[in-house]
Amino acid sequence: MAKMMIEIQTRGLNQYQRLAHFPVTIGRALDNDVILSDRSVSPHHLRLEQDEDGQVFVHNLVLENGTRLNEHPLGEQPVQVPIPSQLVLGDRKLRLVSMDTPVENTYVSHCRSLFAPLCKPFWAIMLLFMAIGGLLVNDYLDVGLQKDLLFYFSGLLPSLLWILFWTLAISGITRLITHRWEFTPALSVVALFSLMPLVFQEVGGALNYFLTSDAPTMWLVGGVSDFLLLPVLVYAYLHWVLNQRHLPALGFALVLSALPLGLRAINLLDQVTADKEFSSDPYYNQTLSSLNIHARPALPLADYLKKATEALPSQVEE
Amino acid sequence: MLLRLFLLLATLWVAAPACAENTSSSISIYSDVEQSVYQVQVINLQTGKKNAIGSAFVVMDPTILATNYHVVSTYINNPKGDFALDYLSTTGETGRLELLAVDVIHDLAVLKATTALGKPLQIAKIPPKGTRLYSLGNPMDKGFSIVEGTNNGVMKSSDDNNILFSGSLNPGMSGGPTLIDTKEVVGVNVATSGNGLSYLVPAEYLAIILERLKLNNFKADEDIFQRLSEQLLNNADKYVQRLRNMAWTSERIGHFMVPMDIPGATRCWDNSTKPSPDDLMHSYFTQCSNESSIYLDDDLEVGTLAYEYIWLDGNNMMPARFYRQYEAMNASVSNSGAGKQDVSNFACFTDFTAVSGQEFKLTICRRDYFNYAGLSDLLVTAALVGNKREGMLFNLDMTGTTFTSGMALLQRMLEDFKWQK
Repeated sequence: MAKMMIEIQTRGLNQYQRLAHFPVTIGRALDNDVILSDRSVSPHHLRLEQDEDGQVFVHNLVLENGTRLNEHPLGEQPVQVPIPSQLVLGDRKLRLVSMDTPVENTYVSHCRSLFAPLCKPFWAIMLLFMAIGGLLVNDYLDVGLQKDLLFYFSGLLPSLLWILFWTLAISGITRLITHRWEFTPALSVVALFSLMPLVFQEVGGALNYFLTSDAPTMWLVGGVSDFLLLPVLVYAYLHWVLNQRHLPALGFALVLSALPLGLRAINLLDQVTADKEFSSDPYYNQTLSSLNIHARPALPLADYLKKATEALPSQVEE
Repeated sequence: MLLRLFLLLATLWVAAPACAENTSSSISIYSDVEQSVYQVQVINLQTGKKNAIGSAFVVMDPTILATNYHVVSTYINNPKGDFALDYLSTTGETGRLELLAVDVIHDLAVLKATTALGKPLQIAKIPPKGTRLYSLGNPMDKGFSIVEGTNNGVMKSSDDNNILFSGSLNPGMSGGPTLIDTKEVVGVNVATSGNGLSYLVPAEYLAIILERLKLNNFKADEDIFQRLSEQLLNNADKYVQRLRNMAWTSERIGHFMVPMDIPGATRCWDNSTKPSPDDLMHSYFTQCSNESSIYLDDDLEVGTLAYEYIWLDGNNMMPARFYRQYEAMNASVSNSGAGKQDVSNFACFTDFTAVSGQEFKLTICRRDYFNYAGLSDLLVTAALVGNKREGMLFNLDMTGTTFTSGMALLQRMLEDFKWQK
C-alpha cells in the first residue's frame, strides 16, 4: 500500500500532511482530519476512503462550492482518485501525491549570474547614487540660468519619491511571492531604470553628432530605452532574483510591461503618422556638442555647396 | 476697445477736413471719369454670391479693364471653373469678364469685357513728388468715391518700387486708378499699410502689359500659371543677381564680421532680449529682412528674404551646459504661410563646412512649389561649432526663389563672413 500525502497549496510555501489512516475527512470544521480554514470550503467538504486493494476514492459530502478532481467537477457519487491528483475545494487547491515524489533541487542562492552584484547592498547604493547624480547633472545642464543648489534638490525630490515608491512596491510583491523582503535587488532594479534612460540619451546625443544623424537617439531612446528596458529589467529580476524559469519570467515581464509599452506604442504610432503628414517645419539633425567630435571632416565651402546641390534635387517634376 | 474708438475718431477727424477741401478739380475729375471706373467681382458660381471685390478702370481700349492681380487671385487660383469675373458699373450695369493677362510681380491684371464699357483712360508718367493725386474706387463696397492725396515718391526696391500715396485707401479700392489733374492715370491703387499710408503701382508697368496685348490683338494668355511661374522665376533670379552685386554693409556680431543691411534692399533690427541678472550667457540677436513680398493667394506670399544672426557668449559656463542651451536654440522655422496644397515638405542636407577658418554645422533645406514649376523656398541654418563657450547661429529664409539663385546668395553671404578675434 503506497504511502501518500496531501499537499495543501499556499502561495510560496506549501504544507504537507501524511495520510496514515483512512477515511480522511477534509473541511473547515475543526473535527476534520485535514482542516482548511478557507471560507470557500464547506465545514465537512470531502471524505477520502481506501478499499482493500489500496485504491483511494473521493466522496463529495456537499455541493455548496463544488469540488473538482483533475479539472472535472465531482457529483455525490464516490470517484476513484489516481495518484497524483489535483483537488480543488471551493477556491483552495490540494494535491494528492505519493510519498516518493522527488524533491526539487535546492536553490543555493537567490541572485544568480548577472544579477549577483545587484543583490549586494554596496552596488545597490552605488547605483542609487549614480541615478541621483545623473538626474542632478541632467537638471543642472538643462537650466541656463543661475540657480541655488536647493533648486536642483527640490527638482530631484519627485524622482527620489518615485524610486522609493517602486522599491517598496517591488519588494512588497516579492514578499508576497517568496515570503521574504528583497530590498537590495529591488533598489538596484529601480535605480537602473532611472539611470539607464539618461545614459542612453547622452550616448545617443553624442553618436547623433558624431554621425550627423538622428538614428542613434531614435534607436537607443525610442527603441531600447522606451521599449526594451522595462521588460528586460522585470525579466532579469524575475529570473535571477525570484528564480522563475525563462518562459514564465518572460511572459510575466511582458504582461507587466504591457500597459506602459502599449501607451508608448500609441505615441510612436501618432508620431509616425504625423511625420508622414505635411509639415512647414524642416526636419534636420540639430545636435550640437561641445566636444565637437564628428566622423566627417569639415568641407571647404565650395565643396559643401556642390554636395548640397547634388543632395537636394527638385521634389516636383519640372 | 478704447483704442478702436480713438482710431475711429482720429479717422473721422482726418477725413472731415479732406471733405471740406474738395475742390472743383476733384468734382470735375469724378464726373469725367465716373464712366471709366468699375467694380470687379469674383463670383462663386455655386452660390452666385461675390467672394471678393475690387475696383478697375477702362484703359487703352473700351473693352479693356485694368485691376490688381490680388483682386482676381481667387479666380486664378481656382481654375476648375468654380468662379467667374463680373463687372459692375456706377449705373448698375453688369456683365462677364475674361482674364487676359497678369503681372504678379507688380500686382496687375488685365480683363476684357464683351461690350464697350467706357472711355479709356490715358496713362502718364509719374509726376514729381508733392503733386496732387486723385484716387478712385469703391471702398468697402459702399459706393464709388474719390480720395485726394499727394505723391510722396517712388519707394526703394524694398517696397516693390511702389508710389507712396498720402491718401487713405481702403479695401475695395484696390485696382482703381489714381489720376493727376489732367485725368491721366499714373498709378493703380494697391494696398494700405497702417493709418493713412497707401501705395500705388506705377501705371508704366500696366502700359508694358497693354502694349504686349495690343500686339497680340488682345488675345488672352494661354497658360496663366505658366506665365506666373515665368514672371516669378525671372523676378527671383534678377532680384538675387541684383542683391549679389549690391554693396552690403558689414557689421560685427561677436567675433564675426557679417553681411548686414543692404541699403535700398534690406533693413536690420536689433532683437536682443533684455539681459536678466540670472542669465548665465549673453545673446545678441540681429534680424534683417527685405520687408516686401509678392502676393499669390490668401496666406501665400513669396519673395520674402529674411536672415538673422544670434551670437551666444557662454561666459564661464561649463561647455556641456552651454551647449545644451545652444542646441535648444538651433532650430529654424520658415515664416511662410504656404500649406500642403502649395509646397512639398522640406528636404534638408546637413554637414560641416569651414567659413573664414571656423567650423560650422550647416543645414540647407529646400521645398518646392507645386503650381509654380522651378520655384522653391530655401531655409538655411548654420551653427558655429568648435568653440567651447561661444556660439553663433545664422539663419536665412528665402521664399519663392529658385534653388540656384538661393544657393548663390547663400554663397555670397557666407563668403563675406570674417572671423576677427
